[in-house]
Amino acid sequence: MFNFAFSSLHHFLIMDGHGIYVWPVYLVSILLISIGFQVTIRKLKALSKKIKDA
Amino acid sequence: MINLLTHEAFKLRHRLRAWLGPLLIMVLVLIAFPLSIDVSQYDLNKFYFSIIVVSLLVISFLATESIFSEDYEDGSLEQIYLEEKDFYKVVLTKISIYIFFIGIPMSLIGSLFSFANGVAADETPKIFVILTFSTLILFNIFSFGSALSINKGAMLGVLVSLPLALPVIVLLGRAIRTVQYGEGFIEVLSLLAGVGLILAAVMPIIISATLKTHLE
Amino acid sequence: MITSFIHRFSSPKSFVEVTARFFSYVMYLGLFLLATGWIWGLAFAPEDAIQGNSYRIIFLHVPASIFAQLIYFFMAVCALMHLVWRVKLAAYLIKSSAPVGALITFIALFSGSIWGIPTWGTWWQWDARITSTLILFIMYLGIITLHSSFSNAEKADRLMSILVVVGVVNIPIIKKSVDWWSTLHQPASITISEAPSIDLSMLYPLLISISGMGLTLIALGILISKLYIITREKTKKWVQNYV
Repeated sequence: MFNFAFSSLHHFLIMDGHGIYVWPVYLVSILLISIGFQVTIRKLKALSKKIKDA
Repeated sequence: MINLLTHEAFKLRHRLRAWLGPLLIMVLVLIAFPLSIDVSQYDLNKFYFSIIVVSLLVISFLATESIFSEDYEDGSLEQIYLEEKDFYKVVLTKISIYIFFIGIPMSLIGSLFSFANGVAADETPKIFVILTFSTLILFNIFSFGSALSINKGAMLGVLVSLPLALPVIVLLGRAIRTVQYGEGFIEVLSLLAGVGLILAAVMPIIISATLKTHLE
Repeated sequence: MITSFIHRFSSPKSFVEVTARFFSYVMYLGLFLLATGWIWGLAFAPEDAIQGNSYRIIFLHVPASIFAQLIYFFMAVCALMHLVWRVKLAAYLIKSSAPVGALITFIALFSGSIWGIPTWGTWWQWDARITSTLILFIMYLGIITLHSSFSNAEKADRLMSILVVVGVVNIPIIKKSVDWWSTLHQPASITISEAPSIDLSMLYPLLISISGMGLTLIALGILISKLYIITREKTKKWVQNYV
């Protein structure tokens, strides 16, 4: 169950030509979710500061 | 109830733009579509339905866009609310009048145009019945959208009510296919009628709750 | 009795305080599970006999599609609570879940359409499930727009709740659409009532990714609700003490 499914790292990245579909999907999704976290954390900090200063 | 009906009918009759406008646009769209394709008009009778369906969708939206906003702006909705009259009845009457004066003529225009574009005469009534039940559903859904987005513009209205209306379009498309291919018409018609009647009974409750929220 | 119970445990203040206590556990566990599931799925799960390696998008697409629907369902429960018992927190939670729902629905649509290119040979098809997910996405946008259109926040809360409850009829349509309309989609890989149609070496990473995605989204939801609650209640004393 835990055998590496590819013969080399190169094959892992290429995925028999399907890597071009698989990797961007994961990258874009990770990017979107982390933007979600970051924007919220930044806004939360700004808001807390504003309330404290007021 | 009869008083309410005549009152609402009278109000709509005097707002020529509100009921004649949508019907004229429907006619215009149905005339313009065949002109916009090439002269051979290959397979027109097949494609013509989709333009009827789409124009039904868009014009139902247009027709109900200001269904409550005028009463909201001139204060008559607030008056009804303050007098604690039955909101449900008022909403039900308003939608029924709109369906009667705009929805049914729209279905009639749609079925006449489909007859003129090659649908057999004995199938035209079927198209009419399907379109009528669809307007019943669409008018209720779009009235809800218009009640939610009262005086906030069409963009909000489209966003909130289109998702509810799109499944109806799929069903309507399927119903029209059954007329074209002659099988399963009664089944799809019963589904449309059932959904339509349930919505016609339930939607006014939801719409009156929405309008009350605006007035509170 | 029920009403007083709900009101006691649903004050925005206690929500912010309680969730702050376990927020970091939820987030780190979620990210850990997500990373485990994805690495297992991408590197160690065997290649699919028919779809080849492109099937590996499943470890992102299926969790995203599941939560696209579940979040809406959660919002509908909150909407009912808001309409029936006038629970303020429920409205806050709907407002803060909607952007999370929109984000994950977008990811489900995006990953699905990219997966469609090698599998079906087309990136978009007016297939039942894709169309209903698109409808769901528009619904999330509608809810967000509706709430931001009104300056009176209480009014916006109620209108939003009404819309969410009415929109919930779309969820069974999404669920059943595969059976109702003709479709390109493969039938669901995992159902509660039947044995899964997917090999165990693929199922385990899938289940781990689903739970990881769930926890990560809960963490994001908690964060957004905290932001929203503080924004709405910033004049209250507890907020000033809290920050």
